[in-house]
Amino acid sequence: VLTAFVRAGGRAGARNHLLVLPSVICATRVAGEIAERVGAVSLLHQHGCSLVRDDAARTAQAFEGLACSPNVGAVLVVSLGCETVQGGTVAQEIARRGQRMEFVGIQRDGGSDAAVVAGEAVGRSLLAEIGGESRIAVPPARMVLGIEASRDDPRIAELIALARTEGATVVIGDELPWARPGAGSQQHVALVAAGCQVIVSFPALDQVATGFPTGPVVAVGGESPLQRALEADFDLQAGATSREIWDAACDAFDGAPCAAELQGRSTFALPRLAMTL
Amino acid sequence: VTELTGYRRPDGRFGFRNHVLVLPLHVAACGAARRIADGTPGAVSVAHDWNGQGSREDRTRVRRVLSGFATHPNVAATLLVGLEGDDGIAAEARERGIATELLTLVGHGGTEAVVSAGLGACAQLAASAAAHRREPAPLSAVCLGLECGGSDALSGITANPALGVASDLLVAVGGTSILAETSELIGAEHLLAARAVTPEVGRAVIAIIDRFERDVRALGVDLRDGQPVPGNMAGGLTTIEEKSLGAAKKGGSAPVTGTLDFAQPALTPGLNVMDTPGNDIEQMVGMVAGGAHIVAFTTGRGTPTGSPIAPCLKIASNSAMFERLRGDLDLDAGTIADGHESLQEVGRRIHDAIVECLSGRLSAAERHGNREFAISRVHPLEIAAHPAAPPAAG
Repeated sequence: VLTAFVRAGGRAGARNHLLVLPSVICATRVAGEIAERVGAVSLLHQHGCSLVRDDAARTAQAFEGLACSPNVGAVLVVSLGCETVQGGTVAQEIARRGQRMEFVGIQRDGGSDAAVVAGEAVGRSLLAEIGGESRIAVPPARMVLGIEASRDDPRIAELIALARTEGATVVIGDELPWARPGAGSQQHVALVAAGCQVIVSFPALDQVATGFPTGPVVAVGGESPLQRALEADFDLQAGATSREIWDAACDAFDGAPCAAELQGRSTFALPRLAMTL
Repeated sequence: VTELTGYRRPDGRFGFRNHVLVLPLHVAACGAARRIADGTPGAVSVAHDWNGQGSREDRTRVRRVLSGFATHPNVAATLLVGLEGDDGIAAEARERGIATELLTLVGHGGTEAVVSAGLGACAQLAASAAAHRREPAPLSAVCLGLECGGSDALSGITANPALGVASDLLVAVGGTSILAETSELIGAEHLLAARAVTPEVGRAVIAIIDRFERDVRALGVDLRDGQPVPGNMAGGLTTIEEKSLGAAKKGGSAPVTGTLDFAQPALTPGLNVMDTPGNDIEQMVGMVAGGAHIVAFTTGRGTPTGSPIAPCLKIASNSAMFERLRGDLDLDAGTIADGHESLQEVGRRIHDAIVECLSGRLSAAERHGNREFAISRVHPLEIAAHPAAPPAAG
């Protein structure tokens, strides 16, 4: 039996983050400072403005999916105000989907100092609300396991079989519509937006282990000089069995921090269709 | 009036800040770089999403940005944190006499080991940087980046032409200015080309805009989806051409002496036109990587952004916004619309503020610790991975 934060609607969260979500790179400094002051997670990203229509829509979807994922207990959207991916619109959609949400706007609220003060106040009250929640026992069947399969590895099929035996739902990253063409870490956003609480990552042999801001990414190393050299950044090595990988995913779901969470490594990589304008 | 002072670097260039930069060369090193900088008083780092995979053109572009930052004269010392190697960037920085160290994740065996080695190396670099002293510097040494972001209907009437006056003052004494944001020059290219010092430079200006329009068309997207942005329209701008005619005013009336590719070093004094996106952060990164010591940034809606290694002076196009977002802004050009000051007077005020800021006074963005960074790509990863995507016509 595992434990999780059970959300309205019954979904299980492996983490209980307050996510301070900047809708544009120009708001990342304010969002980061709010997160630092209240003890929340933020998203350091480079997106949100001068995007072509499809990229803007996809960016908004990624933000909304991330904000509404079960590892997130509450969201504070930080908008600049003039950006292409309008923070106010993103915030409305997050609230419409039933997530606990507050909003601050840098231009609306009188500049970045005022936005930090306002954000700190609402951030603290959101944290107090979600701080009252605690983990309760749930069966492994409540797990939605994301798999980033960026290389051929016989353990992937075994892991899927194990997870299915336990009743868990499995989502394969490169089968999601807008993750299919993306590099490994770009699949993570799509997996999280699809509702995965834990990702098991099999990076391509010439790629490194990457973390994600709002949840555990259990990274499994393979037989390559690069991944051997970086064993310390992986949770499991080339010799680990699929049972050990499944157990590590369960531990991560249950609250054990993965290597990337411990080391403060996270990447929010969003595949883009076109250059910025 | 303040006397201009700066740091004379071993290669003879002047810098106007004395940063210790922790520069990740790969997305995998960003977490380590941040922890090293956080653990070293006075050090700055950047974050980006470059994972080494991309088209040849984008590799060149990214390398120019990273090299431009590592070797920037505002940087006294650079700690490079790579995955496996540094693509020759450490050697370039050392050639310029910048104190440089290189650490790699593979060489040290992962993030924790690189962080602990990096903290020691960075403390030494910071100590070496602290020995540098300011001395009088000539205005001709200055490279000024011109930018507008969150423009409104007054930007092209007040702040942009006033900044143009300041740019002209700098160029007149042998300094360098960079006008950029290609998507926001559409409709104004003929005016710039007519000011080119030679027909070749004029054709190069036209070619930058032509190529951008062709690339956008080849992608099958509508430029107007992304420009003007919602805030521009809320501020009264109606079309990209209208925005452009106002944006180009930042370049004043000086002759256009040359054109630059994205992040290409600006080596010719005078007004240069750099090919960058209109995206505020990508543009600023391109100009600073190209050598801009300071960015003068006009805004109608108000925006707090800055550069990790260069001061960024914010100039409000209207006094109401200046008062409302005062903490994020440095100068008010709305006085022109109110009739309290002339364009020339505000232009002179901007010029003086640039000199003061270069000489050590912190800009609002620096006081707040705004250090946004993003690298513009011509072919985002998805397209690079799929050669079947439509190539640029031509």
